[in-house]
Amino acid sequence: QEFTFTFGHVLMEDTPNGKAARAFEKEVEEKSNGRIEINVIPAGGLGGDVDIIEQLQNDLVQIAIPPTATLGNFEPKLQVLDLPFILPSEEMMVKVLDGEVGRSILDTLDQHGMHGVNFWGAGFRNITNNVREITSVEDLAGIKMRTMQAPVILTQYNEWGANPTAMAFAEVYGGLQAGVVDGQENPIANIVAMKFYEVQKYMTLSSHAYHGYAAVMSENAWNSLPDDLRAIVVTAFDNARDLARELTNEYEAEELAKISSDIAVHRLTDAEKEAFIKGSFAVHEAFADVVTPELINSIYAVTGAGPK
Amino acid sequence: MFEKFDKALARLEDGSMIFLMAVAICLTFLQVVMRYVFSAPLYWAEEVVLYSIIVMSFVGISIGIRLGSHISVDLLDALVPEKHIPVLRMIAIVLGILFAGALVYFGGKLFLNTLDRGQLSPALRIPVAAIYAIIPVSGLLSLFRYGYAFVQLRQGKQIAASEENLRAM
Amino acid sequence: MLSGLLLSFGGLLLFGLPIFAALAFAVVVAVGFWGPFDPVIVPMRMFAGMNNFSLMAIPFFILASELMRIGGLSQRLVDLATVLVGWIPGGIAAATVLSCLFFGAISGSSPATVIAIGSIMFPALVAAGYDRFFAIGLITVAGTLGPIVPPSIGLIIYGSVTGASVGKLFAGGVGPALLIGALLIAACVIFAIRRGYPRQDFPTRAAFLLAIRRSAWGLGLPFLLLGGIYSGIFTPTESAAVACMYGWFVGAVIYKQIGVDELKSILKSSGAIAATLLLITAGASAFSWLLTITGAPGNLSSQVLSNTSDPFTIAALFNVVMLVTGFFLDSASAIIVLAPLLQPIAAQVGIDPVHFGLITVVNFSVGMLTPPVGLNLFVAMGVSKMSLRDVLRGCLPFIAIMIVALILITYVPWITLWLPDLIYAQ
Ligand code: NA
Ligand code: NA
Repeated sequence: QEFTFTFGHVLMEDTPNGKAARAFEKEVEEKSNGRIEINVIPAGGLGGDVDIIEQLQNDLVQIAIPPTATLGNFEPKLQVLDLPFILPSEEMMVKVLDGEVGRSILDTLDQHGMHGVNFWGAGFRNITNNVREITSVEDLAGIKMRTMQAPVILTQYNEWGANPTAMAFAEVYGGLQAGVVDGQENPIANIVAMKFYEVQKYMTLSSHAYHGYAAVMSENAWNSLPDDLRAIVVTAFDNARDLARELTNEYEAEELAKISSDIAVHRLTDAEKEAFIKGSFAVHEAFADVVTPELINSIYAVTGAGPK
Repeated sequence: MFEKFDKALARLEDGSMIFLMAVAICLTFLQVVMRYVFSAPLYWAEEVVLYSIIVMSFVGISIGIRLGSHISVDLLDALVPEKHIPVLRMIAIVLGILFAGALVYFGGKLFLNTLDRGQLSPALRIPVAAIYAIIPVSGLLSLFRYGYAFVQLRQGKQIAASEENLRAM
Repeated sequence: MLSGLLLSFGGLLLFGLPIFAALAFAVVVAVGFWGPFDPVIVPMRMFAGMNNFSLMAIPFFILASELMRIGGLSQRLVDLATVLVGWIPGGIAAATVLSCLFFGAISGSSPATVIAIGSIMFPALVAAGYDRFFAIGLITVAGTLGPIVPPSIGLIIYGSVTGASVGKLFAGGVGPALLIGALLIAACVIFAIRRGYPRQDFPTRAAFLLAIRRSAWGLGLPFLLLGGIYSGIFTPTESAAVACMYGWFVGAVIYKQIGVDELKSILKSSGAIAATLLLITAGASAFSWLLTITGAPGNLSSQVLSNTSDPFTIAALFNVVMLVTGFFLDSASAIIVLAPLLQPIAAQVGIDPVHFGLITVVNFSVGMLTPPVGLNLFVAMGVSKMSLRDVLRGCLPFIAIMIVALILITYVPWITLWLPDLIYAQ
């Protein structure tokens, strides 16, 4: 073969995106008649998301699907996608991420030694906790939330009256069980994988932020590909993205049915959601300068969900 | 000249180790108090603790060389006749110099790459390159230590070694 | 490249480079001469290998035990242990194992358990007349109970990479931990009787009360730590920092043994010890990155499996693969690399995922005891001031006991599963 690319990610093989990575590998190897070989290393074998991005920047790894929130440490504009309710629904998420706005966001990665191809994702993040059922911003008051280390998410929970704190992912289960922290937010896939539902009483299907993964290639790998192979790779990325989204939807429906005997599930009503969205604009505003007002407004223009 | 520099450097290394260790402990404890008593956890505490201990560990490379406290396998010592032991020491020191050189070169490269790409730390939002700078610096400190040991060995001095040093500090 | 890596590592180690440097530099040499990779990966992985908050338990517990040693807490606890169980044959040794089980219930980490228990019990065992090989071997091996008794970082990682229930895994850890504890205690009693280790006289009521009174502050610590963890005030890692504060308070304010100068020197020496250990984790992290990206563990397990389909043999071969991997990888990386490969195959031949999780964690606990990368050994060197060779010599009989326990745990699923089945029966 002419090209060998290492594809590193932190997800388990049997998760939707883990399966999509394998499908991508298969498609690229077949369609390129073996001119490209993909070596998938799943489950954090090469390190965490930040580590894998750094390895990709140094061309030690050629393909990765890091969360947009983590990429925010490298390119501040990426943080726009973690603003609460900036992508108010699945439909709008597809419109923004797969459209021109998504492309312009991916292009900002060029100056960081990466080529952004498209957006995969693990579904929307939801809130679980042990204190009370959460149906409004006010319900979050005083709840100790473990979150990812991302300024947007910290600001969001501070703005909503909760107490966000960092905690190593591997310690979250024990932390929730003992009560060091009261709650956490994650897409259903992670809540199931880490068994958080075993140690949490309430889950609110808030879908407040899309847990998106940007599919990226190292600058060197992308530039080295001739046009015919590039086309094959890009098509495979798109197919894998669609597969990941489809599998995520199936997976969430199945798993939700399974865990709903262990945890009380509340889906936000339209009115409750509307109130949450109203409570999010302050967070958007706080980050307008960081992610640029133009970018926020271009997303509002697609979704029609900006402040009136 | 070597001796004076050695003493000054040792004080600096020891001082930063004490400081970083104290910061890590106090902050971790403070975090518990802030979260449990005041319900106001410090979102940056964990990151500062981690970076303190990591920087401390890199500083610990040259401290460990000075004190001879790094853990190694002394298998050959038992097999080689007494009079050849200095040769073994010399080989170990040369390898150490090469390793320290690699730390300077590739650590420096990592520092420059990261500086160039503007990566920020998750909580504090400080440039990660600033933290990575400790890697080539620790390499330089180690180069000095191994170089000093090289000179001492050439002069026929015994190199300070092993655990007693560590405990006797 | 793989043989290049292993050869350079062996050579560098033999010619006197410290273990951490040999691990890291072997990767530089291997990718520099044979590999398509930029050696910049080495400082990158060294940094990332230490960038894990759970690891902070190591420097914190080292500091805590130094504070307790210098501050006089350790000695008083040792005196108490001697009074309480010194009259039973092998009593103090058995108490050591019990302490590890007890401490394991608050700590998820194996080296942290060795430091915390070892720095108190090693001097006690030696003072009571046990030979130092026996003493350090027992402590080093019993320390592996830390991550087998719940809570356990290893089991959490296993649960997250395989999808097994962490709650069931924790429950599953109780049986194997009790088995290992019982075997070790039995060994202590037998050793003690056969070698005629001295016993103390049965304590008088006055001596007993005095020892209790003198060690009251020390006895408060486990209650503080356990209470704090189980009531959610702090995490197991944070508990190490709480232990430091407590140790400093008692040593400085109550016993007045720790002044500013002592504190500085304790911070300096424990920082230096912690750094040497964390650096080995750093070097091992670079090493395991290269092993992983070259697919070595996967190849090893598929080669092993190509010869058989018999469940009994497969289980045995898995143990061999994990024990061999454990020589080079620390237990967290080893679980991340191997569990997703092996667990599905184990499930096909009918091994329950929770059962397999405990097999995995016990295997990599043995890995903490095997050179060249065996953190427990290095911690034990610090605790006992003995050479690596001597510590290893002391460990060998107890490692044999661990292997016996591993075989029992592998082929008697009930040991692991009785408790999860009881708790989660529906
Ligand atoms: Na434990
Ligand atoms: Na080992």
